[in-house]
Amino acid sequence: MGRSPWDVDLNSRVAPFSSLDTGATGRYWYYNSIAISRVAVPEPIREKCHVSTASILIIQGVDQGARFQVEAGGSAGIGRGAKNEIRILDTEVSRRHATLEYGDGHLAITDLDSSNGTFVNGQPIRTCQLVDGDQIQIGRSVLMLNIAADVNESEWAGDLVDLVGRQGADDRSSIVSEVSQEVDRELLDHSADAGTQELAQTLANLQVLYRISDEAVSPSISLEQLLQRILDLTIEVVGADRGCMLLDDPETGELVPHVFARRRGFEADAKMPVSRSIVDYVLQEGQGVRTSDARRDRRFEPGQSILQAGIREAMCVPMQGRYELRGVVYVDTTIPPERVVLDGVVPDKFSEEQLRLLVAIARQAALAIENNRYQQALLKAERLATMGQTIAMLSHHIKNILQGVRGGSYLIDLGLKDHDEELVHKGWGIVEKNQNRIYHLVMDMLTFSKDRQPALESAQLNETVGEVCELMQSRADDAKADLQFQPMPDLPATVFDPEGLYRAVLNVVTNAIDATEAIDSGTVRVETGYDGNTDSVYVCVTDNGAGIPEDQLKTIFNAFESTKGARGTGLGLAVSQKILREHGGDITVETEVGRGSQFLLTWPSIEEEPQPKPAGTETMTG
Amino acid sequence: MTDGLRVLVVDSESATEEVLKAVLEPRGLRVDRVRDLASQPDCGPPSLLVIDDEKSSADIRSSSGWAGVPRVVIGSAQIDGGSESDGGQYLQKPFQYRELIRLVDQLLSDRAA
Repeated sequence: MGRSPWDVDLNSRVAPFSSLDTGATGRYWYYNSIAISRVAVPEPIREKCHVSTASILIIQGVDQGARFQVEAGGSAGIGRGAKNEIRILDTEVSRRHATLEYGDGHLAITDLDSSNGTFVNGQPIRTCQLVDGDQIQIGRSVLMLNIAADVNESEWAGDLVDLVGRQGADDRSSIVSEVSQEVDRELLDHSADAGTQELAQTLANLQVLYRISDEAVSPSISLEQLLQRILDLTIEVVGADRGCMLLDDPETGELVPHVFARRRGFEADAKMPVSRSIVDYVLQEGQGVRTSDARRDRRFEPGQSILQAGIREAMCVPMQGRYELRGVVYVDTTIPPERVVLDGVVPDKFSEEQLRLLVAIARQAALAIENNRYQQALLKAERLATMGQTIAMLSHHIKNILQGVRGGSYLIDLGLKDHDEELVHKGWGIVEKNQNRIYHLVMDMLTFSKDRQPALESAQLNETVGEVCELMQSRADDAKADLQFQPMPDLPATVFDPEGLYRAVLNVVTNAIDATEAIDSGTVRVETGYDGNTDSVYVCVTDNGAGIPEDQLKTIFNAFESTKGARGTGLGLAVSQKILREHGGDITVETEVGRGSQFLLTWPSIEEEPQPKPAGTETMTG
Repeated sequence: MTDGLRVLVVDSESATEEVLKAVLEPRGLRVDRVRDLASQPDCGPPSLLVIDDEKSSADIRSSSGWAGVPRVVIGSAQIDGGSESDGGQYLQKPFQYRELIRLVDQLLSDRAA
């Protein structure tokens, strides 16, 4: 009884093919008594495009998420060493591994005799011109290249398309036939009564591919779920007993089973055996294969093990992504011994057509995997960037505040030593001022970081804003600014979050006072009011300071986008805007460089909460 | 001996200015502050500069009349090309105010000498 190759478990390696003999049709190869037919997998198309600044995103590896830029006409070294513009701390990367250089207007990568080589889209290279979307593999890291096309070169669709009017004489087309959006479902219905079985099968295959493409771009599904669904659909459409997807693990480079599926009603007594040698062959050649453990040129004699076990057929196809092989899809089926005996010559269960279909499905799955990995890297890059920015800003502010506390403490210490009370007072004043600064920074951070519902209550806006102006008086005095509070007289009680609005107004007024620091006769006017036309309440802060330049205007409400040497925390206006938006309102700015700025904080008047009625009274509607 | 001397602090924060004011004004010195060099007043160069801004420090060296003004430069890193000969002292952040006062005193007495 011969040893069936199907019992080889995944971890054993069999020597690769050393010789192949061709079968009668020329399409079959034999290996260890396994007949194999092959189907090629289409090559991806690389399009050339014009070149401007290139950006690199590391989508795999220890530096995943890191971003780099290479200016048009510039160059960058890639490697582990510190002098590289693109530094990758991967142990399999050489100190000086490769360079990126512009030449003839095109970006090219050149390997610098590195130990482990440089790969572009899976191919080892010495030097290679790069295009948008290319992936560079160095060590265990993968870099994705983005070359933004020149904006001027792209044509605006509006110049090319003429939307002909309804009454236009040029529009003579009329509707000839209609097809509903549900046509994909119709496809399935029709396939049942299609003429030949072949046509029915083709339609069914198309339907499956359509469904898979549909699923692949579904935003809510996880990668594992998606692959599972694809595999389930696949088993069904090719009529296999079971299937699995083996994916390459990015860290170890080993092939790992990721999803498994079996036909309903199929019970297996053992693990699905996957022939390692077939898998290796598929990966090496990049071809899809059909295999059968039946010899094609022999009849079956009774007593052979095949008659007891049946014949196993399998298909194994590469999951060819845009850049590299992601793994394999492996499906198998068993033709029961009864059929073998009855039919004599065994027909192929899996057809050439199905193999091609499987190749197409596998490609979809591979693209989905690549997409998923790219998205993960993008997310991580964004997160890293944001975190970095936030931490840098916060450290900067905290460091300055601490320096202030040190200064105050120094004076207190000196004053105590010299019995100079004046000095102690001055020192204490500085410490106290910085205590407040820390407090406000923390309050802003808390407000900004939480998703809050404003704590609405009926309150007096003039009181709240008045408190802000009282607190800000000393700051205004220090800045030699005239702080004027002009509340609307008889402003009735309105519903708002007093603590929130206190904070929002405080930050805007602080900004306004700081803006007038350089002006001799600085003025800050704070007004409150109610606008009957829009049924909204407002606070208006006007200053005659330096004004805000146009390029800064776009970003003043962004957190931590402080201008150089700015006094604030970088959070103040962002927090104010957040609070106003929580009230259903917003902050708008009007500004003129050299004349001043006006910040308008406004929100729609909020209905008073209806008082609970005592039992027994009629409730009002509306 | 120190009457009429003016100390100019270039700093976006007020702590250093306030400490120097508290310590030096009783001695008859004047202490002023500007946020950065762009807003320096048009009056002549001060007797002593305290700069908490590396970039401004480089700018000052090139601006005429101020190149010889003794200064204390506070920064987070050593600045290339600096030396004692241009009358500059360097303080690394974070720093102790005791040290700053000592350097200021030293530069003022060097000047008087």
